[in-house]
Amino acid sequence: MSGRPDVLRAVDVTKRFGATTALDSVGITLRPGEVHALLGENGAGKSTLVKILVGAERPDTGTIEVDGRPVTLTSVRDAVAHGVVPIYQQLSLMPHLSVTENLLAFELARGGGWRRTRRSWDAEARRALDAVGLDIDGRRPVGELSLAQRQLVEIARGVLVDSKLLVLDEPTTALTAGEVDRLFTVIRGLRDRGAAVLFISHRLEEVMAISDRLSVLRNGRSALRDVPVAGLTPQEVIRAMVGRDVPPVALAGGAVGEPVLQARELSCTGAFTDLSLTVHRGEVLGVVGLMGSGAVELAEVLAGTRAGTGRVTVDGHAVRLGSRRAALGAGIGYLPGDRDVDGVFPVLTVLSNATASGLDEVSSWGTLTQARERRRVLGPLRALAVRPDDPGAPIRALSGGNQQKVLLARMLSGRPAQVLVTADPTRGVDIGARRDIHTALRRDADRGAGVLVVSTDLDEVVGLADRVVVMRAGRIAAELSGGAGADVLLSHMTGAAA
Amino acid sequence: MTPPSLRALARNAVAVICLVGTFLYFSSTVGDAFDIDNLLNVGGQAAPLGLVALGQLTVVLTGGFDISVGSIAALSAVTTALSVGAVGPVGVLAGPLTGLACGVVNGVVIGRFGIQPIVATLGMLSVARGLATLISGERAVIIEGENPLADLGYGSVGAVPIGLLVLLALTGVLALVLRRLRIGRRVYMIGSNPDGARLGGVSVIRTTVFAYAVSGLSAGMAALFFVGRAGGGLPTEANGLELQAIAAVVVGGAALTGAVGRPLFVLIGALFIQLLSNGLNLTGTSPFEQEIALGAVLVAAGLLDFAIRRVATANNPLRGTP
Amino acid sequence: MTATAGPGHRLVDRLSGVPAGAYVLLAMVVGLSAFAPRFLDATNLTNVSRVAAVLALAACGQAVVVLVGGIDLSVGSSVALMSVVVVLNIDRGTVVAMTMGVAATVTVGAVNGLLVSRFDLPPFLVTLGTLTGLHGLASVLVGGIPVEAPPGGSFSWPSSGSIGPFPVPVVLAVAGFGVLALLLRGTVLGRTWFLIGANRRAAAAAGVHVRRSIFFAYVVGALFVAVAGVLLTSRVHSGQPNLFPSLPFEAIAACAIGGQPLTGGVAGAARVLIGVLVVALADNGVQLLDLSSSVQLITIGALTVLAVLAQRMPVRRRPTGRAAPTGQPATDGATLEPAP
Repeated sequence: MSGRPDVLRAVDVTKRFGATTALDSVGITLRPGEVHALLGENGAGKSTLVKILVGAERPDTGTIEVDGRPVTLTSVRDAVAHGVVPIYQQLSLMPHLSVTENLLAFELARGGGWRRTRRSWDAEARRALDAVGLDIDGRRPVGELSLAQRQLVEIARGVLVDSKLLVLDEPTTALTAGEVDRLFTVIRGLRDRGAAVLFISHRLEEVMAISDRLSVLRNGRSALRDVPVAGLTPQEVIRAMVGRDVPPVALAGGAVGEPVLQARELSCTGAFTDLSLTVHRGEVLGVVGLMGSGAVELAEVLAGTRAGTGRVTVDGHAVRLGSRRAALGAGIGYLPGDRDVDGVFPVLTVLSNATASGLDEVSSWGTLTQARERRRVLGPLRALAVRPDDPGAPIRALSGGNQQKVLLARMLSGRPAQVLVTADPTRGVDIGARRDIHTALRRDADRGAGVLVVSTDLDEVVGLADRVVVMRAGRIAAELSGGAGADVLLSHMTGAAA
Repeated sequence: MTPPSLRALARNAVAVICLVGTFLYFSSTVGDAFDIDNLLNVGGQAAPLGLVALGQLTVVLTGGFDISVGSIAALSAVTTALSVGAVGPVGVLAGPLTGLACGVVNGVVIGRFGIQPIVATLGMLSVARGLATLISGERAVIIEGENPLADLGYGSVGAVPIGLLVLLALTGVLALVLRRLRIGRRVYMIGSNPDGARLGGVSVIRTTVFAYAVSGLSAGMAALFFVGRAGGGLPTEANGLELQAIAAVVVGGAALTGAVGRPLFVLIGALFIQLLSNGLNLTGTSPFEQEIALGAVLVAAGLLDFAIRRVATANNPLRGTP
Repeated sequence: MTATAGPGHRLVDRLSGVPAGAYVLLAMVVGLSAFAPRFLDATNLTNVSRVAAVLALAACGQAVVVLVGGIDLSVGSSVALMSVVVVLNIDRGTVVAMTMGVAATVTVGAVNGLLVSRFDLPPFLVTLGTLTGLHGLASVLVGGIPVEAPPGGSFSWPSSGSIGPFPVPVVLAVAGFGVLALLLRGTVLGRTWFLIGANRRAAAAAGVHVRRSIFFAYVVGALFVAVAGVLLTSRVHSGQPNLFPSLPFEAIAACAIGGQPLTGGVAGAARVLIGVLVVALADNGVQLLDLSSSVQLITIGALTVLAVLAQRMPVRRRPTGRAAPTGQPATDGATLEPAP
């Protein structure tokens, strides 16, 4: 498709968040009539780059060009006005309103639409819906539609505003195989009509099937850039994602003891079915999987913050599912995956954050004294090298890594847990804190607990786990020893392995 | 999954069941005092409550609520009476204008400055009531001579009270606005998903101001009925009106989380509340006992909303379903 | 200790950890001393302290409920009901009657707490319902007309008696502040309130019994209100259904002016004290300046909104005004309590 200007070109984009460099001189070129895939592990910078391309973030340096002209995107609405349409997992749909009205809302951002009559509008909406093969009544409220249908509505919105670039972020996560096929047909149709499509996904098989070009980010840099897919093997792509860096130092583990947690026939509607797994004392068990594989939900069910069915026992005693308090009482400690939502108490001090799970242990007859709390907590805080280690400091003053360490101290300073369940324990955490957290987890395993680490960070799991379970599409796809490399794990996660 | 149509049906059915049930109950206990004339009468009496309930619906659709409507109505009643006394019949405009002004203030405080509805409308509740007492000199402002609003309060066209006609007309107007006009659809949008609405170019601030302005305006219009009936403006008017309005809205099937609710059923809800009040009067229940009943109705309506929401989310893991 | 970090300091933070309310208080004291001649008279100050004592106790109760992200609009009707219950049972003896009144108030708190915690009903809705229902109940019990209590020494003691040189109301208020501070800083229950108010989801994930803790917040709040009710009943010496309808608004104003965010997660006895003094002085000022009592109501309303505006000033919030009953994480909470 030569002769036409690139739809969107990002050159030399750099973005820093405090001390962390999320993107370092990254570039990408999106051409009309092409499906361009963007891959990279979590933390590689994918989501930051996408946010910059759709106007949700501004780069520190670098230029963005739309149709050959440099632009500054001030907001997502601004980006939409330039023809860049993000398809966000229906976060921007209004469920109580009809399909046609949801389509209409977007048109407003382009400054058009109001002068039309209702009938012409309905006709326009019909055309957009037909273009995506969605044969439903436009008057139906979006809330009634399935996830796949809602996604198509969002794409139809993009069609309606004649968007130049559609950005699809992990679009196939919750779709059935048939729905994926339908989606791909739509994408191909859009491409053939000259739109550019940016397709972000982990699923290698799908990526290779639908894309014309791909780019891979690793550690904030371009590992592969604008490479035609024809002529690439999945292994080459995986290697680019994982890299030939020095392998992470594996923390030596101690002896693995008898089983401490056993899950049988564990199911969670919409996430996973019929899982069975065992965690042993002294063992760090890693669980990896792509978004939508059910790995994070598994952690939540075991911790009791999500409902599920099945049998879970700790040291032979049955644990009631669906109750965090019951799980806590059974000896299951929990470090949630999203600390801002489920973990941190933002207006409170480090002390309050650290003792939140263990109030019964620092009180007598329901009364608390600061002295006793501090005594209980100072040890773990120091051991984890929390900076600053003043328990009276407001937790907002701490960096992400230190906040995470405080949450870890919370998990470790209550009653000694038999099982530690953690999800993405080092997300958004600097290297030093990462090392400290891993050491602490290893130490806790060595003292006799069973540690379950669900993570999207493959390096972390490779360095830390004694055994790894790979989940895919709600089931266990493989069980591997801790020595398996990241590329092997990724192969099983994406289904590229035989 | 419970089909959304079934849930919507359940919500709307509540109002109808309550109205019909109350009617049947009282007509069986009180007997022939409950005839068609009486019903029309109730409809006319329900005018101020119905108007305020419609205004409250608009606000509830955005996900908020307005507990200042009673005070705004009182203030508007006082300003109307004073204006009519000063400039004659033209002064009746003072009521709706006062209400509108108060509503806009609410809307700006909530929409532009991000203050929670509870705080903003709580403040307005105090300020408006205080102003009403202040400028009326702590007594009723009587309209000397002819009361231009007497027809509104007591008049009828044939057998149908004017109040009922006004109420029906305005219900239709609101239904039209909410269903057909852009601003009406925007109200539903910001109640359904404010982020999505913003992305689509909707000004959340302007829509919020609109919603609270409508609520204030409805209180101002309700005040005209009060002045019509009382022959003047009382600063103590409409005490507890906000409670009745919210009860009417919740019974009428609106969801307190926003974006669910229709004017017709809120009207039915308001009629139910009025009918209940009238019926209790006829059976000799003191106004105080009625207060207890009203409090219970509000809580019961809230519990019902809870039950319907529970059933909805239990069966549907997807977000954002009514 | 000054609060740090976060994008943009709040107005209250900027003033070295001292809430802005303190400066307002100072300004009011200076202003009233200058312009209201009778302000510094002993009789006036004693009156102010008695009135402030009632407000103080009610505000302490409100502060507990607000801490968990709720609100209680029914306290006015609650004390009214209490006065009615007390006076109707006065022939059983003052102490018994007062105890029955307290029990009634605490029951109201329990009902509110149950509806909010168990059924996730919005607190404004629930307490609006109980406000009306209780007013009706109180009126029914006395047939609509206030009932006088027989004159008697022991009945008047709580409001006009003294313990040593200190008036009883002041002693009770001070004790109330002390109990509040103790609850907030020194008990597990109090700590759970902070956790729930700061981030309800995280509290649940940390294993806090959220529903139970919220329930007790309303019950404890009602206990404070009950003591305020004792003082009020004793002062008016009768059972009145319309005892103090604006009490909830004054209490909420006091909490807001003291710097407590109405979204929850922050609380402190010192803040409540400052807010109470500001409101009490505002009321006193209105009286002394011979302004109509309706000005009082206007001032309270305006002060509340201004106080909340000042809390939020540097940060533009998304104005959607959700009536969601479950509290949002208070990620923009105002100042930090030095302790928890």
